Amino acid sequence: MSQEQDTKNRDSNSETPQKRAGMELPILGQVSRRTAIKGAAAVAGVAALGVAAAPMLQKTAELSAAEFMQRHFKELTDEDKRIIFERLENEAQEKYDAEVQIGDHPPIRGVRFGYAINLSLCNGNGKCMEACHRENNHDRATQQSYIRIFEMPVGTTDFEQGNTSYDHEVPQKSHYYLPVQCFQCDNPPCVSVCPVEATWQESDGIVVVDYNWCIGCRYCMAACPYHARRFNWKEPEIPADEVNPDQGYLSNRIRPQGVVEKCHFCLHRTRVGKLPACLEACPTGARIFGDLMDPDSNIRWVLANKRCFTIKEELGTKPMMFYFFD
Amino acid sequence: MEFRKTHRRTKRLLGTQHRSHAIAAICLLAASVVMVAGCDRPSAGAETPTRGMSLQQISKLPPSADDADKARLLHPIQYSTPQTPRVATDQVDALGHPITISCASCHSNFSERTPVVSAEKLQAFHVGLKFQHGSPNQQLTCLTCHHADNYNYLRLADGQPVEFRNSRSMCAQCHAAQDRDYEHGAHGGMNGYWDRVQGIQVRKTCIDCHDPHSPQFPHMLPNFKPLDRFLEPSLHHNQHEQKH
Amino acid sequence: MSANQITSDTSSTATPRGYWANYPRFLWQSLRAATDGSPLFYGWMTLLTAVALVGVNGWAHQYASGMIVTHMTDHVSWGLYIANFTFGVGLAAGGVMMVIPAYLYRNRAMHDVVILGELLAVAAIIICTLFIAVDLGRPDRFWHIIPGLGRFNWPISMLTWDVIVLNGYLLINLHICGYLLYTKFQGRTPNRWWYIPFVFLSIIWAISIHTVTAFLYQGLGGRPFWNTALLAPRFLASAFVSGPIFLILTMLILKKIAGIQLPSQAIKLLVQIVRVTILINLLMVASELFTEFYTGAAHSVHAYYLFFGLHGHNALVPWIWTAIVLNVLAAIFFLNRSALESPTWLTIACLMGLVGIWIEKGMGLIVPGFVPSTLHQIVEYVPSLTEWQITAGIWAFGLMVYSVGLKIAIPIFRAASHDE
Repeated sequence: MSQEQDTKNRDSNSETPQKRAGMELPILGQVSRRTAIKGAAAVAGVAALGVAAAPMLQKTAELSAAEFMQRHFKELTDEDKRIIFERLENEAQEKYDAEVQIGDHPPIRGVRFGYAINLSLCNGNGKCMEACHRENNHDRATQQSYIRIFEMPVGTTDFEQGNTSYDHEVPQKSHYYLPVQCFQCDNPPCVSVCPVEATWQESDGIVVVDYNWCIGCRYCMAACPYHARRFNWKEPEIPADEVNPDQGYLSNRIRPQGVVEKCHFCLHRTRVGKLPACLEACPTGARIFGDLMDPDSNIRWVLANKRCFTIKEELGTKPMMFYFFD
Repeated sequence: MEFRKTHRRTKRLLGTQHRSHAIAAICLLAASVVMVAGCDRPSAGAETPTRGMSLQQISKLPPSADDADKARLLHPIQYSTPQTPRVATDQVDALGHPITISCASCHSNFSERTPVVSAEKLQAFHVGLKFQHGSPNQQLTCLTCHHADNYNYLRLADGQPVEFRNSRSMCAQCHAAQDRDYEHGAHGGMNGYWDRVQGIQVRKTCIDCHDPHSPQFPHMLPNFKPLDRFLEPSLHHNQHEQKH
Repeated sequence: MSANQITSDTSSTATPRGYWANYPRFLWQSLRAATDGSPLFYGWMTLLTAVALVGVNGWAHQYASGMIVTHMTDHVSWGLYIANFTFGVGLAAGGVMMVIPAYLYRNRAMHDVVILGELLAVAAIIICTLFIAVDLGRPDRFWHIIPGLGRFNWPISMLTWDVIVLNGYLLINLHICGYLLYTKFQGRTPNRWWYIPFVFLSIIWAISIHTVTAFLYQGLGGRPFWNTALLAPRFLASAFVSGPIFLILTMLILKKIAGIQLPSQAIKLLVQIVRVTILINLLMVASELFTEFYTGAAHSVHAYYLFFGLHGHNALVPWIWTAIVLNVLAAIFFLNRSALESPTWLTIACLMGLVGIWIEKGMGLIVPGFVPSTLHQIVEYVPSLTEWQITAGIWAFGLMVYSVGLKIAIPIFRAASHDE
């Protein structure tokens, strides 16, 4: 209490000169002394701000003007792309000491990708996760991968009963194994929510991310019902000899810090006709990949002859990844 | 008292201010209409061929016009073909290459008198072979699959000899469902191209994954785990124990 | 104090100079008013500046080393920042509770203090914007969201709606505050047509900002904890608790510390508003919890996790029970008329309500939406030191804006009302 009164008293004392200063027309001597103190405080404040923000300023200095000004992928001409890809290749050389080729890989006309997994065959060995990790230049420290495998007790499809961190011999009795990754939904909620159109669905159904346009708000991660999206919490670390040099701009090129990424069905492979890395790595042959528009494709045969289901169908996302038991 | 006063005031003001309420309501309504209309607009992938189709619809799509042309241009599927087995002799020829002999080299001299059902019975040759194929009451023997007259061949159920390279047709006699799936790419791994217009698809065969004498797929130890942040080993363990 | 200073100045500036010619003078006087003050004021501003700088430093580190310095994960991808953002939007919307009685019900007493609500709205929106900024992984790409410059996914993305309504609300309130202050500074009577339409717009807009913010969450089918139609009404109800409570606290503090006596009727009216809204909010929380726990379906795991913990993970349990206890106690206090006669008890009740709502619609709403994750994995979230630093910094900066606003506005308003 006494302290407050004290302050009030001091207030009223300090009022007097001010009041005079205000009443009379500006008397330079008095005003400038006060202004000088204020100015000094402002300078000190700005200096303190500079010190506090130093790490940010340093980081910003690393950012090239070309990268800062880069337009959205859909607005780039072929010439723009050539220059950008070259810049990114040089960056990979500088940062990772790796010689890489970054390609464009547009979708093949009239193709729509579908993927199926035979849950009777999958034994949860995790080779697909590892192949994804290597193929897609994921951070080595976190052993990142777009795939997770759930060990599920038979008799339920409730993920709460599942476990991704099992580390025993597989398959275990009375369990089945359920790999999940991005389902490239036909009605993708992650695409709708993106405020800057940094993620979109291409004509072959693959939902891609422009890593140079994403602002990192992570709204898509909140919107995805399948935990398919990952965020680059820091810059990925990959030893030079482990970098996969066959890269796509919208797929497995080394991602920058602070952006969201996701499975892209290995589009740098699948759009030149190759099979995705996770399928090739699967020792049980549980994965079936192909073109939904081709009536003779493997995937079409599976859809027509196996009793397939999708996960969380009730959400209306229309996943393009199908599961079945034999 | 105070409450009644407020109430009276409120009532009076509600009367005079109903217009602003109406305006507010209309604005809100308009905003929500725009929002809902906006949400119906298909997002960026509008040109995708199967957009909005159900699983059933997709599986009945007709062939497209250029599918016929495509068929002529397809690369062949390259099937893995098992070799006719040869047995090592521990001896080398003049050039230092190991000498191997065909199965028939021995088996043309010995004929199997009693059909061997269990691998334990094999005491002179093939010791340690794991034989676990078919259920016990099926009583499968060596000669169910190996041709008794010529051990360089396999044998179909009707006694027809089959070359080892065509072993799949023998397997298919019992495993017809798997063979049908295999035929349509739904069983067995593959490599190379899904799009056979662009390249060769390489298919494994039955015995690339299944040991013919003990065909059950082996157990494996997963050796790769993504390390999700905060899913430290100790936490893994807790989670694991609670779940089982 | 500066109050007198500005009064005296206004009397001298009321000379018939050009309307616009006076504007730089107004700005200059405002700057002086904002930077002149008692040692207490200087101390307060220095403290806020220091905390804000700590926040800037935290953000700088986060920007340089990546969001790895936060404790957010791929599983809990939003945390303390978005929690505070949500609360901040509520605060901004709640400020309008001062405007409604003043203009919709033409309450004279409120006219003198309505500027408090508008300034709160401005400060709160700035806080919200900053919380979004620090939550971005790539703040250097902020221009991608500017319509015309970048690619604005409107009207599909709810976040673009939020950008529009929040910035719109900021502009509307800046206009109202600026216009009223400037005309009063000039000693003129504000032209109704220049601000009354905007006042009504701001009322609708206040509801829209919180509705749209709720739609951000409740439109996500994959997050059952948020996917409830009650979320937007709940947000509004709690906003109309936290906003008025914050204004009551402001007035109590101004009276106690700066000795600024504002019409006591204003506090009484706000108390009456909170008395109703706090009950509506509790009713909605109860209704939500009934649905979750009585149905007991798979989707109620989030509520179980929040209130009781799941499989031995219970990081949020103390938070939410604190919130519930504080909210219930605050409601009891607000219903007890005699208790509120004492400013001390009123302050305590307000603080309880404020903290209760902050937890309930912040950490208690955002985090359980992510735990367990969409694939039912449990990864818990406790904010990191950096997150707390940045959060404190943003609040300090917001309070600076609010304090400066009050410092400039109150003397002008009081002078004007004395003249009348």
